[in-house]
Amino acid sequence: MPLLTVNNLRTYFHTRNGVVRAADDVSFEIEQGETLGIVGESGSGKSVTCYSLMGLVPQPPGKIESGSAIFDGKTDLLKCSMNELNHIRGKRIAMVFQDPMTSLNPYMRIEDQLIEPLLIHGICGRAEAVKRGLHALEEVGVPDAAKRIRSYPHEFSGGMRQRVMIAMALITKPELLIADEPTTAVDVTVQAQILELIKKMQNELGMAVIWVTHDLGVVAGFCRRTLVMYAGRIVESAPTEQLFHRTKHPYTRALQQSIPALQPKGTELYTIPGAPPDLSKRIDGCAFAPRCEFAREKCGKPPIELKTVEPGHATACVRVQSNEISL
Amino acid sequence: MQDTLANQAPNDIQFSEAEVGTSLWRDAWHRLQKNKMAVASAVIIAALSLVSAFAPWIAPYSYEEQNLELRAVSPRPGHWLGTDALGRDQLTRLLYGGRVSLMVGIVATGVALLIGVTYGAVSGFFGGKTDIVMMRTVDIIYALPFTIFVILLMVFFGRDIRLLFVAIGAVEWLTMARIVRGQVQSLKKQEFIEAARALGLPRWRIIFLHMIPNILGPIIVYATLTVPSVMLLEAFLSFLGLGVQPPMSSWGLMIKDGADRMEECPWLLVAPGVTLAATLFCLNFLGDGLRDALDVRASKD
Amino acid sequence: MFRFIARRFLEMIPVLFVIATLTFFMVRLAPGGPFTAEKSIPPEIQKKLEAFYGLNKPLYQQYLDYMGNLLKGDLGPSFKYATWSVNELIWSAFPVSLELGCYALAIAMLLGLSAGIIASLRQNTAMDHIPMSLAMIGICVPTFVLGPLLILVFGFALGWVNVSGWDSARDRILPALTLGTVYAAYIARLARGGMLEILNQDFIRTARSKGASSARIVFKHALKGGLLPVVSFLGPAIAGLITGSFVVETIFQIPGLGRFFVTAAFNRDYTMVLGTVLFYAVLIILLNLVVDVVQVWLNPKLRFE
Repeated sequence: MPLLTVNNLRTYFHTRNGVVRAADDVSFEIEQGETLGIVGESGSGKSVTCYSLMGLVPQPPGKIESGSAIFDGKTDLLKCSMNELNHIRGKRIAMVFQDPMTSLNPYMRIEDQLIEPLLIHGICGRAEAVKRGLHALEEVGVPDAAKRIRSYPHEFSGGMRQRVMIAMALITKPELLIADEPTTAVDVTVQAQILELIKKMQNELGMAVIWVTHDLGVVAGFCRRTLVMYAGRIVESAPTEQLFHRTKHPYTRALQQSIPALQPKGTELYTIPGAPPDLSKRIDGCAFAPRCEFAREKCGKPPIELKTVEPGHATACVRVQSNEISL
Repeated sequence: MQDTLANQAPNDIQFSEAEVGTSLWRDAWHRLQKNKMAVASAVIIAALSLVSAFAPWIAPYSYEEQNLELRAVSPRPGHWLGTDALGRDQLTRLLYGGRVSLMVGIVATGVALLIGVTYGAVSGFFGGKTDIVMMRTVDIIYALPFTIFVILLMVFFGRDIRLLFVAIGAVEWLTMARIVRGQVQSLKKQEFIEAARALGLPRWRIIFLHMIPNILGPIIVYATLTVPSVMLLEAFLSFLGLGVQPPMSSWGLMIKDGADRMEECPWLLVAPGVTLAATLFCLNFLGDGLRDALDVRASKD
Repeated sequence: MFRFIARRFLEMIPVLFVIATLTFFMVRLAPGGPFTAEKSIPPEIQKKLEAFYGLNKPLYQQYLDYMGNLLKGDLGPSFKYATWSVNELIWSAFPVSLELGCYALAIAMLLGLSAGIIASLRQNTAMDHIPMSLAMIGICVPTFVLGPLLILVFGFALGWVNVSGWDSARDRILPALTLGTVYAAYIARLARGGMLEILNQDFIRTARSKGASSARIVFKHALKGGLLPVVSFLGPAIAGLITGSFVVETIFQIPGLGRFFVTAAFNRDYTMVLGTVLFYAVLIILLNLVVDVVQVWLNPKLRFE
């Protein structure tokens, strides 16, 4: 039985300029211990999806219009009470955020923030929690942990703070970790370290990980399966290897073509023509069609749905679904 | 046949409506207009100012004219706000009091602006030791009860109303200096100033055409918020007998008279009290509205 | 921390020095003082003043004597009351003002903080707009308007309290309310603003993701940072309470230091005025120091300066 089943999640933002469909009919599953990547540009809806699952979408102006997210076969994260949600988040589902500089409370000591999940969920008393906190800090590679645990966040560097965030998220040994672009805001040298750290922890704890990123390279090294999102919708879902070698959606292919390192030297860099759509305006048909080299008239007509075309591999491209093109 | 959108070069992308750029000021004006409370406040203040400014021509009586037969009478036709213990018409005194408050507001705020902006700009622009010394002085003075010093001044050196204006202005410049200095400092570091320098623009051009327009916003906001403080201080001093002297009229004086006699003549208290509070209210609302309109980051959507 | 306090004490000294020197010269320059031709002062007072200021000695000697007296805490004889010294007058009146000030501050903090915090938690609802509008009105109605109005309503019209005096416990209510309301209004606005700014920060989102309850988020995560603007405001608030006391004590006929100060100012009792100013200056500087210490305690980022 999957650890988390998300069905038809729709999260819209009601702004002055219209209704922004940030997450539009998102469905996916993740098994226990599985590593899932969610890839997409800024504004593709990948972060909003995760925030929706964790109940972190500001409502107003956001609103979860419909959908379900069944966790462990029992609780619908989108519909349960705040009380139930608070029992799950921080304990069984944890999240690591993008910007370590702003995501830690500057007015609290590291120690207090770090052990807080243990105290909130009554897992152990304070003395024991402090011991575990220290151990957690050492596990994530913070040097001189015993002395530094009483410091404040601004005394740590960005990379160190991200490690603290990870330690804090994992201290309750959650079943699912959602990592929202954890390496985007840190230096390149630190990125690799953070990635290795999460890999190691995932191995040790056997937990499921959802890794959200805009960087295809990261998912290649870590996630067994990957979802590609565009304009609030999932356009492709596949085992990561197949995603790279036998992609079945023009957008994914365009993304891969855009990786500078993979392009022949001396030629003009490939960029996807056009710009991402304005999500406050209704999009009939495929959202990528205006920029797609394979687009035809049928691409402008709804419904556009994710369909499995090979075992474990689904795409939303209607032309691929009807075998008109192969990429 | 392959006439897809993808074949169009990105530059051909059409905008659905012509997008006209708006300057910061126009945007701010737009936002201010939408804030109905601020607009209403502005209208009320404008009306009050006009009426007060033309008091000598509008008022039915002179502010010191005493009608000893109609002493301390309640409001009635001919004396719409009643009279005080000496038979002076309250409506007239209210208008003249408004005149004083208006003058204090403008002059004292002007003094505060002048001193504050200069001080702050110098401190912020030159930085270094000059800045440190200047700001420490401000810090130390700020912590002291300057109101008390104004009282001292008034006690010791007479009660010329002009001294009052200067004294009050001298109290209020501190915060203005801090604000201006902060603005100048952060502007100096901004990239568009560096860009201007990199383009080779002369310093005076940078200061006047690039820096000052960007500082104007907070200055206007704070000046609008200083006026009510100033008016309050004048009323406060007059109430204590240390500001405007009789037979001249000030709202503070009127309130004091009203408070002394409130059991028998409550109307003496209500009219100036309500007027003062209402004026301060409108000024504060207008200042808040201006601040919201001019603050680029305070967009609520 | 200790160095911080020591440094602030040192900074205090030149300031007080300047004020003391200024006051010395002010008395000499003021019209109607002991050093001018208008000898309108009763002879006993004149004698005491001469003793205090050493009028027959050279100027620098007078200055040193004066400073010496100040260091001993002697503020000189009153200009008006032949049998009282300034010190005695201050000591008799100050405790009353202190009591009034404490009540007013308590009202301001309790009322202001609760209104402000609740408004921030219920942003843009009635629980936000109503308190904030009331706060706006509170800021715009000066103490000297509010006081008489309250007396009019609760004293004369309803007859619930005495209209003046400081005798029974009930007499404390209206003055404390009058003095404290303005500051309650400011504090409410500041608390709301500060809390809102904190509540929109990323680290609050992190706290939510850990499963923290709303109460925990407000009290353990948001409060420390959110109240910073309120604490910063306490410095000017104290100065304001002092100047506010002038008005409130005058209106309610309370025998506090504020009223003495106002009467002294009106009557040109120069030594009393100056003595009180010096007293207030020391008081304010000390209290500001306490406020600064609290600020540093609340905001760890300030500790490394």
